[in-house]
Amino acid sequence: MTDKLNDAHQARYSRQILFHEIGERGQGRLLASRVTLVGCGALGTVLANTLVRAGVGFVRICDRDFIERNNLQRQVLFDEDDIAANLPKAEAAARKLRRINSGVTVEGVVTDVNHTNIERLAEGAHLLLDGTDNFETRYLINDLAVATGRPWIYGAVIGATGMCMPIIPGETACLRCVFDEPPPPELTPTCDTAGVIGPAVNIVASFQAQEAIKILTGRSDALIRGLMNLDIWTGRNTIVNVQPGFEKGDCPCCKRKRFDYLDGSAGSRATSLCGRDAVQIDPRRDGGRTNFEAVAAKLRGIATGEVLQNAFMVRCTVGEYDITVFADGRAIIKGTADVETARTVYAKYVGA
Amino acid sequence: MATMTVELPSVMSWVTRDLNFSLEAETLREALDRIRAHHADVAIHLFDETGGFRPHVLCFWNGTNTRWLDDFDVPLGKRDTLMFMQAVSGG
Repeated sequence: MTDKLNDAHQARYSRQILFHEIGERGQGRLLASRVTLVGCGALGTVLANTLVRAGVGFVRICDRDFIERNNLQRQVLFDEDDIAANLPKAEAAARKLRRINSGVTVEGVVTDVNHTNIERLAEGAHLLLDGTDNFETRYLINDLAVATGRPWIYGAVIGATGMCMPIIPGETACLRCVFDEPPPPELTPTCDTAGVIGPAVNIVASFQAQEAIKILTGRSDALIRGLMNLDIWTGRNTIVNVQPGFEKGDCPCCKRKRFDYLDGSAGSRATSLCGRDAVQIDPRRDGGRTNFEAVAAKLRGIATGEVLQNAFMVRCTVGEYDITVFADGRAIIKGTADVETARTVYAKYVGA
Repeated sequence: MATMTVELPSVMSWVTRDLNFSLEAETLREALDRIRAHHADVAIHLFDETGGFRPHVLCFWNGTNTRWLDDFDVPLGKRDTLMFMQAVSGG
């Protein structure tokens, strides 16, 4: 990476260069660096905005979704014109960011990031960034990062709570050292069931961006080592030492080199049901039964009408979709034949 | 018998309004047993069917991750705290 700056760079990034932990050398490194951002919702827009303004030379933004009006409260790169134009998030973000900083390269990729394409999407990236909204994709990013020895930064937010953890493979605990398996979807709230506030998003993503800048400027020595647990509403913020999980644990990913999400042996499956305008989502849980009470409680807050529940399934309507969740964790999303739409509905309302 | 403070993550406010509560126990194992027995609405989110911690839940006893303790039969002090964290998925 180069640390030679031209006059335009000196002028544009002068305040950041003056910060002596970065300086000219760090700014040069930022300009020569490449990142892949997976997910461009709340965290992703703040991350992309911060890093493009900071002068990260190449930012690839991957997202599968379109912008909805309820996104505007916290997804800082989008506006009402983007909704009127029916722009996908990746494209709307890329257009906005190019107007913010024409001196760097921003690439928007409208895609569902999965085990078949993540290696290509992350090609050449020095750092992977987590702007996603579900566990499965995070475990996929973790697998790729560990398998290829590249750093990534976990970030997540719900309500007023968030977490952030920089992960340097081979040096710090990875996501599976800390949380070795994702939870059953119905036991964790999502932003669409429990809400989320803008300040929490901005703070968590800003921590992610800060750690990213440290890594990209060659200042990994200054990383916050551990899992940041941020409760913005109460001010109860902690940094937890998770290093024993790396040093003493038997992590399936970074110790046993099992990349279950990257090789496709773990993770959900989605199948469009022929002629039914419906998609089946199978989270492929190992034997555990769905907690119907938790599913029903979550859906009652958002369902259009009654939430039906018996020993075999929970069923309700949310907007234009009929959602049926079965005891083995499978769900049928009726109202769409599109797999990605169904995945999004499942992640939003059943769990992610 | 020691009185212990239990702190739940605010992300669990959709499950209970009592994110902080006290319980009396002699040992850490007994404290965890009491949570399972007397706070069933919360416990289902913290413990799996075998009684172990769910993989996305971390439990800290006075700041120490209980996952790395060899033994839960440790005596509790007067101002001990048990803090739970839960992996977050939103973004």
